[in-house]
Amino acid sequence: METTYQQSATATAASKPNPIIAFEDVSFSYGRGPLVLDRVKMSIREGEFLGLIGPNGGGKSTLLKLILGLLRPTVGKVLVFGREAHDLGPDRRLLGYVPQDTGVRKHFPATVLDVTLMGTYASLGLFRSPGKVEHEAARRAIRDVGLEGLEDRPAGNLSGGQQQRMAIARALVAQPKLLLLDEPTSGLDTGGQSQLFALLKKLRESYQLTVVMVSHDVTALSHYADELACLSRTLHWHDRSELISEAVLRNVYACELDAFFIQHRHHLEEFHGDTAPAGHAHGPHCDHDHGHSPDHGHGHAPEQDKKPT
Amino acid sequence: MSDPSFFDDIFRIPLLSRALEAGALAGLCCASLSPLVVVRRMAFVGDGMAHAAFGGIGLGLFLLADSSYDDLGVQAITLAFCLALAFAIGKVSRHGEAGKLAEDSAIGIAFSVSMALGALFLQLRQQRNKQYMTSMDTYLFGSLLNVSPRDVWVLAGLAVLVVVLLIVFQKELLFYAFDARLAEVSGLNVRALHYSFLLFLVLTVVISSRVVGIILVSASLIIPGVTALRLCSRLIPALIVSTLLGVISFGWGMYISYRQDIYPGSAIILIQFAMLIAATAVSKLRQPAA
Repeated sequence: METTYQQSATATAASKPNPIIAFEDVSFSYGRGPLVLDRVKMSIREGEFLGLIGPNGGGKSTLLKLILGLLRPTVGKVLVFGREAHDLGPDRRLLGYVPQDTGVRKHFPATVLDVTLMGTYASLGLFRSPGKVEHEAARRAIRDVGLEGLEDRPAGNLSGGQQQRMAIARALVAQPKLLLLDEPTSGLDTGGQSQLFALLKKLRESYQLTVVMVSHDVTALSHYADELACLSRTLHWHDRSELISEAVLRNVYACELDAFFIQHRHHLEEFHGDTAPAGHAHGPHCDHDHGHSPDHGHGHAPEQDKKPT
Repeated sequence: MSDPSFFDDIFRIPLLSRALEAGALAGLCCASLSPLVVVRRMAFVGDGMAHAAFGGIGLGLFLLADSSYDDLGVQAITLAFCLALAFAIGKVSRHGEAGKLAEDSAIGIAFSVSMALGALFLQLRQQRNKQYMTSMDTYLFGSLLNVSPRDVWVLAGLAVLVVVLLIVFQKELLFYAFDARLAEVSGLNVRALHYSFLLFLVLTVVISSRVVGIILVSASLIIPGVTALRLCSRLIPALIVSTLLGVISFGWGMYISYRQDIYPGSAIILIQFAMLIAATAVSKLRQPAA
């Protein structure tokens, strides 16, 4: 098949069965606006952990919304569990979603247990309240994310990190096969971030999850994710082992990450001297470049990238 | 009025007992929806709808010559006008999707344009008919002492519907209020929920505001809910407390109004506000312990 697909397939366990998520030449634009995603092909197999990075406005959230079936592709197909994402039916339950903003308003009338139980609502259907089974599952999920003892605490009184764990518990209680996380580390300090990754690692095994995480935290993702894809309207794949190497960081750079990454990369490559000017001058330029040439591929940017070095 | 016994009068004067029943029922409807209105950040929707109703009233009075505020036709037009507006606002604001209008802006526009239209229609009718018309105050403050038995029955029916909605769909409404997008992703029919909730909100606003006035409806959709949410950390207790506060504030307010001869609206809203202050104090006192 197409090269990107094969790269990803050979990089990880090729023996695994059907992909859990498959993007077949998916393009998307909002209304008549410019293309947000351009012929994206990807497949994620059971048990994989995919890290999705990319600049702001690169289409990461759009891609998640496509998987969640909230949007339909303009061109192409998004298959989740072998069916079109917007037409999942009861299989929708197998999709666990942790949104970017997990903050709960103060005075929201629900305890941690109540919020976690929300994960069971869809499978309960109308007119049925959560019973003993659901309560047990919710308590187990709360325990698994490390919030034991806080079940009866008002949800709005938790700290940011705890609220995020609660969001994960809510997703887990529905027994999902696939967990989608949208920038989960953005509100956390370094300690919280590594705790979150450790938690995900644990949960992945105990719940046998396939994980897709959108994040800015390229370093942490490179440690925990099996695969890394960079999305900037088009999708670029990176193997995890490859990522830490200089060449790949250059590739990451090639897909126009924002100033933070550019600095990050320079830091890793030990070009401390011209970090700021390069980042400043280069990032916006790349963005601009990409926005105006729809067929701008993977190969052009690295050439530009080498200049500051 | 020399020291009349309020409770004796209730049974002696049908007008008074009807006013009390209608007030309590309107308070029940508004206050029971109030916690969700507050949590869902729809306080402004309720307020906007209450004011938008004025546009519908104006339109109804203008279209139906020789009609009065009490006519079913005028009320039907008011309801249709508000439902159309609510649907338009709901469509624009379901997710606050980028590129569309923000919910508060949409409501702000609908609200002010409706008030302007309402005033214009009333004026046009006045010029055409040259007859005596109730002043705008009646629409803003309601006419509690002019309640017909039909009004009481309509309000009672509405109260039953609202309570049934809240009981039957409590978990869906909780999830919807928590995070509508998340609820949708998890497979709930959020669209149906969103529009049903709006429908009930509009029905409550239009029917109650006829009796207790726009301003009292706005207050009762917000203050009892905020108060209950200070005191309760779960939805069902919050709904019950809010409903009780609504009914109590209406009953108590009307009693004070009758005894002291002050406007019932002022008395009711100030009682609700006093309850809010008390609840805030209580929750502040409780906080260190919890």
